[in-house]
Amino acid sequence: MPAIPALWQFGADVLLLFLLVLSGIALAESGGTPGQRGEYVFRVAGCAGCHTSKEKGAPALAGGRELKTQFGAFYSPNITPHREYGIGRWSTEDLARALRRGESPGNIHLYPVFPYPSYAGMSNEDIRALMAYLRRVPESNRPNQPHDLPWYLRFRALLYLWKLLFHSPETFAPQAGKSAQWNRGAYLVNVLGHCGECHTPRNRFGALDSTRYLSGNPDGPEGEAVPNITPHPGDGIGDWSSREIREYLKSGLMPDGDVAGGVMADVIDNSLRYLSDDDLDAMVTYLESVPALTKLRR
Amino acid sequence: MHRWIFSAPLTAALLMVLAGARIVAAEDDESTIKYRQSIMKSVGGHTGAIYEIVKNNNPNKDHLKRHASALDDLMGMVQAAFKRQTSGGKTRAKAEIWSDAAGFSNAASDAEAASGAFVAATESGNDGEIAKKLDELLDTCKGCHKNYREKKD
Repeated sequence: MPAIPALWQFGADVLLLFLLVLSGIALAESGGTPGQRGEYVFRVAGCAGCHTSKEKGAPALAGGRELKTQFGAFYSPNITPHREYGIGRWSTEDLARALRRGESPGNIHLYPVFPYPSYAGMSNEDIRALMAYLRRVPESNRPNQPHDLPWYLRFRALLYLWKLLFHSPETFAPQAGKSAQWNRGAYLVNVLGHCGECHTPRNRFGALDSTRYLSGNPDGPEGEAVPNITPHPGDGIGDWSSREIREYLKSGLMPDGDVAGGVMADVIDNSLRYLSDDDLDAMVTYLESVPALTKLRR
Repeated sequence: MHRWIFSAPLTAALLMVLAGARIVAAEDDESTIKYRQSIMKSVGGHTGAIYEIVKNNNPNKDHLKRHASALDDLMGMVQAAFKRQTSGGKTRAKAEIWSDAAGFSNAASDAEAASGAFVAATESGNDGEIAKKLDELLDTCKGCHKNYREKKD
């Protein structure tokens, strides 16, 4: 008689083990715990590059990095969980509002040097995961540094008008008729990776010129010209094979054996090198599909 | 009057010498730039070949040590090639190479050390170690390219 309950017990144990394995697989496929997933989102979104000063030994994510633009010099803010100097008092909804609408708590309009025109497309899931990660990074009490801008650009209320004209906070929607890989690539290039923010020329008001998307920017950040990454054979990367694009994103190595420099080297070091193989392939698929444009010559 | 007669040929001679020196300096700049660009192109050639063997399974695996050794030799020439400051010319070298000579020297020394470590890895024959040291070497290339080279438009 005791053999039957023992058999039931054994069966229950096997079932439990099976369920545990299944849940483990499900967790791995969804990118691990929210913190792990958040770290991945954080990497792909390239937060570290702008939110950490270039000074030697500067605390990570404590801001202070100078971003020189044609409008003046901006200094990135502290995004560590410090309650006074960082974003320790922010809720996930506050983060979502900053990323999508370009507003921080207190209805303060943010300058679009923070690339919310691109981040606006982020999924709820990615924003929640990002917040879970940002709450875990070490705090820093580094105070924020005021931007160095001409007087007329210090009126943040003007940004409300700017947003009315140039910003549409819409969450990314996959395009029907395109593959899952292409849509993932579009999300990575246009939203999380915000490639267009540097690789697209801007109009006189600092908004991206969508008719010349990814065709390079002669007046890029830090005074650098930023190359055309459309598949144009002469002006862009149309001569690069899929593998060459993928290798460049992963390591910075170019087809001629040269290695990336400038801001892009930071982007690779802080962000792109952490991408999964599937995400790299998705980015390549999408980049190869965008319209081939000539670069803007000045 | 006498003093003027004596000084005129002297002044003319001095101007000719200065003009000559200027031409020589310009030629030197051109040669300096061409020389260092040739070195860097050779570095790129070996790096590209190494990458194909290590990361993309190119069958010329028996060439790997020779590429590594040649690359290491070239890396040892980089600092000397950039020692002389140039101004203008067809170059993407930034003035910071010379205004921040210590920073440039540290970054270039890191790359030299990484190429030496890559040679050692190829001697070991351990594929995992070779791939790891190649990644580290590419990182050190960025160390100089980030701050000391103009971006290509």
